[in-house]
Amino acid sequence: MFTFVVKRLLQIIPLLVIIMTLTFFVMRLAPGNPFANEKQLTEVVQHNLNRRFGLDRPMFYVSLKESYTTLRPDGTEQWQTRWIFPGWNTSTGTFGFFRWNGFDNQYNNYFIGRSVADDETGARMWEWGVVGGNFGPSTRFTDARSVAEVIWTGLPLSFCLGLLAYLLALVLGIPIGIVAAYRQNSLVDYASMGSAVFGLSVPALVLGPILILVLSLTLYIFPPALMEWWDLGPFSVPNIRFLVLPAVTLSAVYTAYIARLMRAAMLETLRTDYVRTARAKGLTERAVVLRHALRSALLPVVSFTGPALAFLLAGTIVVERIFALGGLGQFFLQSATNRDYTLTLGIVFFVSVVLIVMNLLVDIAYAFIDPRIKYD
Amino acid sequence: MARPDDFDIANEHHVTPEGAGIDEVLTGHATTEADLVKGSSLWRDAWRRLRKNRVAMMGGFITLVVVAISLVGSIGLLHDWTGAHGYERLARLSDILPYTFDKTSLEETNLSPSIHHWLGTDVLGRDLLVRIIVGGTISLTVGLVATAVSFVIGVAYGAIAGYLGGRTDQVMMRIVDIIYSLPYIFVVIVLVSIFERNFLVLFAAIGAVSWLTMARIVRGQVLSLRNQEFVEAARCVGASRFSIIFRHIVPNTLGPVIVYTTLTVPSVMLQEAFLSFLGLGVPPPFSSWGTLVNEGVGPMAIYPWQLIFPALMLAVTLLSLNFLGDGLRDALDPQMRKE
Amino acid sequence: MNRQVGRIALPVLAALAFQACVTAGAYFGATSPPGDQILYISNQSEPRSLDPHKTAGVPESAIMLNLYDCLTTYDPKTSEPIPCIATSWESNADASVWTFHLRSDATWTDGRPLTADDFVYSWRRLADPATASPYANLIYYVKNGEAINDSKLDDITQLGVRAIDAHTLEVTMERPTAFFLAMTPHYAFAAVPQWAIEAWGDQWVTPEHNVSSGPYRLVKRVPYDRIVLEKWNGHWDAARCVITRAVYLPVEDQNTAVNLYKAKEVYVLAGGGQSVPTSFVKALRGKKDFHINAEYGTYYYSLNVRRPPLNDARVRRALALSIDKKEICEKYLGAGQIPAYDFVPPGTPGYPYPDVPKYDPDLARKLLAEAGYPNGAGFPKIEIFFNTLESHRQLAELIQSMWKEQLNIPVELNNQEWQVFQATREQRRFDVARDGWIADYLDPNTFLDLFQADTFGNHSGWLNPKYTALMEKANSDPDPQRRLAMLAQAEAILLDDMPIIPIYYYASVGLKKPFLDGWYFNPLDQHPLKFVSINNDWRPDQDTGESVH
Repeated sequence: MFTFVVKRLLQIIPLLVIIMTLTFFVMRLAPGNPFANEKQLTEVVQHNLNRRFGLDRPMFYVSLKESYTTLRPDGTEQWQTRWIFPGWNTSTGTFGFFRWNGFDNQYNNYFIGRSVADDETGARMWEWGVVGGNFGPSTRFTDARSVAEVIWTGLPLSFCLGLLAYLLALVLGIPIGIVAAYRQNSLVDYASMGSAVFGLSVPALVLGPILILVLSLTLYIFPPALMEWWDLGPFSVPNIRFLVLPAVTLSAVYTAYIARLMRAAMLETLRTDYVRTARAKGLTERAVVLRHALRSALLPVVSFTGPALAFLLAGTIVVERIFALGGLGQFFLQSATNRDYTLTLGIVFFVSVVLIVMNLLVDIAYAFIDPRIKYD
Repeated sequence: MARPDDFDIANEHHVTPEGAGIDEVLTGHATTEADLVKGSSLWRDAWRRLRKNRVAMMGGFITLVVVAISLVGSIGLLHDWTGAHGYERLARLSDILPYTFDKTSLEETNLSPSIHHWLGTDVLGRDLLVRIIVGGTISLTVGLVATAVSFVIGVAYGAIAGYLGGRTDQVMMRIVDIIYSLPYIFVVIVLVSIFERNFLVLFAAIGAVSWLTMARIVRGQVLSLRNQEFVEAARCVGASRFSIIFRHIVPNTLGPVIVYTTLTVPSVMLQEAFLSFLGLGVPPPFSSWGTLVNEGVGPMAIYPWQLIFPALMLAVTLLSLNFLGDGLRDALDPQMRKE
Repeated sequence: MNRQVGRIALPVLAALAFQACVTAGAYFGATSPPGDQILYISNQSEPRSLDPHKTAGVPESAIMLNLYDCLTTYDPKTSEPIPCIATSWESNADASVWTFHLRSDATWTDGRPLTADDFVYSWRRLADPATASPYANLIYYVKNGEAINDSKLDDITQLGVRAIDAHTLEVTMERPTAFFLAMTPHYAFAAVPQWAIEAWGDQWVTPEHNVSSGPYRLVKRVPYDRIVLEKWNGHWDAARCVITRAVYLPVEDQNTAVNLYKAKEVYVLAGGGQSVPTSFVKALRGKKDFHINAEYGTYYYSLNVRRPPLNDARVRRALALSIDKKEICEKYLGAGQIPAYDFVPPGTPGYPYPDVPKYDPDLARKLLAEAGYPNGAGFPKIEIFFNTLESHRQLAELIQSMWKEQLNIPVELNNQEWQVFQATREQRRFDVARDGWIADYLDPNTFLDLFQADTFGNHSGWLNPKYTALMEKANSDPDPQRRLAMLAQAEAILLDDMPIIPIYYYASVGLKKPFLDGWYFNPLDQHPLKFVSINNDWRPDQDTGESVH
């Protein structure tokens, strides 16, 4: 198990490189630019902006050519390029193979790093890119120091909200699923599964406004949107009050998923022979269900909740928008619609790490839940 | 052949009842053999049991009615001049209802339900009933086709990864992780800008992501099944890998899989609305249930029928689909067959 | 099963019915005054930056207007420039050199005096290509502004602005620019503190480092949560300011904004444009705190004049003539938008608006037949492109329906994600594209300028040498009356060729609590806080109906 975990943790690095590279190109292939606005920019202004953020470089360009200057008859310099082939290199007077002339492109500069000149001293310094944990400045939130700072701003809220919704979904979904399975085809079963499906077909986009209408604008129990998150401290009483509606809205769909999956798996398990054996041994129903059946019935729920928790923690666009919350979901939506390449990559990086770790935890959990599962 | 130590849980056979004959153990699916002898196939057997389940039958009936209304309705109602993007094949037939889904009428905006407009009208004065019927075709097609895609890919992928295990499993699951992590919104935008608006891309865009969780669930189940005796037994009699995976293991995972499949339908239908937002899927003035619900949310305090009817349609269809799914699950359950 | 649905749906229905009752009354939501002078404003979106030279957005302008003083500021009722740092100004005969006289008691929040040199630095920074300001095109009217911004001129001191003394600023224009004064309250022309920028770089706009000169200063900024401004007592005009604190909340979702307003969590919906969803307009129209105000902007459709069949002016005119704009404005939009026939919106003093034919489907059919498509026969399929937004979609659906009905031509709709749409429009891969222009300053030039060259904003690709010549002649004419007459002639040429179909003039639709005084809905939607106050003695029965409409 230990080597398994270590191996998996080591896999994260190449995985992230692949994910980030794919994201980079997918993102850059999408039409649009980070500076587009309702008011269109003139070409010159656009060019200046591109230069400021290094977007005037080609997206990807690897050079096996070298550039050199020649003098025109009139004495002016002319830049030319030529391929460098293996063999005797006339321009440098050396013998060599393909010469790596570097790659001066966005991907490389952004991903690995670049050498920047200090404004005052003119000294060249190496600045690491994504590889060194430096995502660079956000083009959407220009006042922020860095992408990492933007992410840190949205993280606490998304994290609290996601965790709350997740716990709510587990606390509601698992018991409902168990009870429904245990009393299969009873009224309880139909009622709980019926409401679960209803919860599924009412998306957050509908549920959120309805909750606001009823609970905050008509009955005045909860505020319609979150205010002053930062002044109150993340888990203060007023903030929990603010978070109730968003968390309920968010958890509805997940509760329904968990309840349905739990019921199905439980039904399956309750009919297996080992449960029958357990019953035959004279264990109480409670012990049979909770100690023997529940464990292996949790498998599909665990498979589902791994990625689900990752996405919950990473912020949810619709709920954050409805309740005007400044979480990662809003930041991601902004970064996508504004083509804020650096921020998008930063958030994708963060989400990927959480997701991969969650899936690793799920795989570890498998082995604990069901000893038949072995990683060899 | 590794025998797990935990006697209580793991030592029992998953499918074969205690005391089953060696033949039955060897064929893995004792019951399949028995059914063949009786001349009744797995599917015929399932159908017999499904018929007994009244709730499931009702679910199936309502689903059929909804599908029929959407199909017949759309063929009759789609106005003939919008030959948009190859939709004209669905077009023209009759004038059962004196309204079309796209003819706006500023004299009749936001009317509440009445004899003339049974479900009221929308903000541009179009009859809501007609729009819901036309929307049903699109939502149901997307929901069912995309779900089928996710089912087929997800089950096959997850089962193969889970059964083969080791390095293959690692690579296959890391690919799933990568696809999970890509920013979906950009992938869709790139797809749209390359292929422009069409139905195939819509299915590709939905299919590309909806199978991922399915694959993980199936893999989890298969991991716990693959070391069991009936699988070992099947291996001993020389069954091919393909037959072990798809004939012996997969049927035992169908419970959660069918449930997850029915859960995919609503999420896919709602996803279609999101993709319409990005310019994929059906162009306006065509509607789908997802887009109708989205449109209805804003004015729901003032014109509630614009939200309630499409949402109700969606909910009723999904409820019936889910009860049908549950019935199917029970009917296909190898355990139940002996009871 | 169906009973189950009913059981869940009924309480929701009941709640909605209850909701409908609650919305009755003269005002929308709670109206009791808060008892203090802290103003909560719903501000549409999170600002990109609080640096006046690093952004071109609307939500930013509401904040920067109060943070950094300009030479002039907006009149709270009319949006016309009124004295601010500049107490008086004059220009030479052909409006090519402007001289501003600055007040001597203006200072920065760190105590330094605000002088003409600060403006010289700021305007050079605006023009500097290294700043890469999105609003740099506004400095192109100043001498050498464009050359510097385009890196053709490296010496930024060549910019046509200089400080004659500490309190006199002289601006030399590139060419005679009679409308320059109208641009001076714009935040791109604000003064920024050189020493703070040099000391802190991009970080000078954070609350810790920010140095400002306006009546309010920045005390707090939490992205996507709030921006808090506080009254600065050292300001030269501090005596006028009543509001002690202003809290700007970035609320992206219009429904959420309306909810917050109703619950009195915010007192006003700012940011201009349509801040209330269309579907609410009819229900809110009777409320006393619901305000409709004509804006200086036009919503229009661009027609691609380089693609058949729209390269034929008769076809373009037929399309324009068959849209019943009056009906669209009255029955669909219904929030005070005015049907647009001219491109320049009404409200320009002294501008002789050209007379343009209105809704005339018979003439449209005749024109279409002349162009070779009698009753739409043989007319190729055209597509309307728009970015995904409910209001754009609905309008396109209406127009599609009208064209089909009146002209019998096949029209398709195509919605795209905002950025994809912009690319489509810029590369002219459309037949018809949704478009809109809101004035940067109060002059017809900000509209007619779009079609001067084949550059940004001219999506239709229409060019006419006669038009260009007339525009150039007009803008170098020192006589305002003659100039406006020539501009109107140019507009007549434009509308005769119809590369665009104006559909309606924007109206800003807003909600404002009745206890809020001094906040007027004006053409440019700019609201300097120093004129605003909260009337804590306000009672519903004392309300006399303010003249804010």
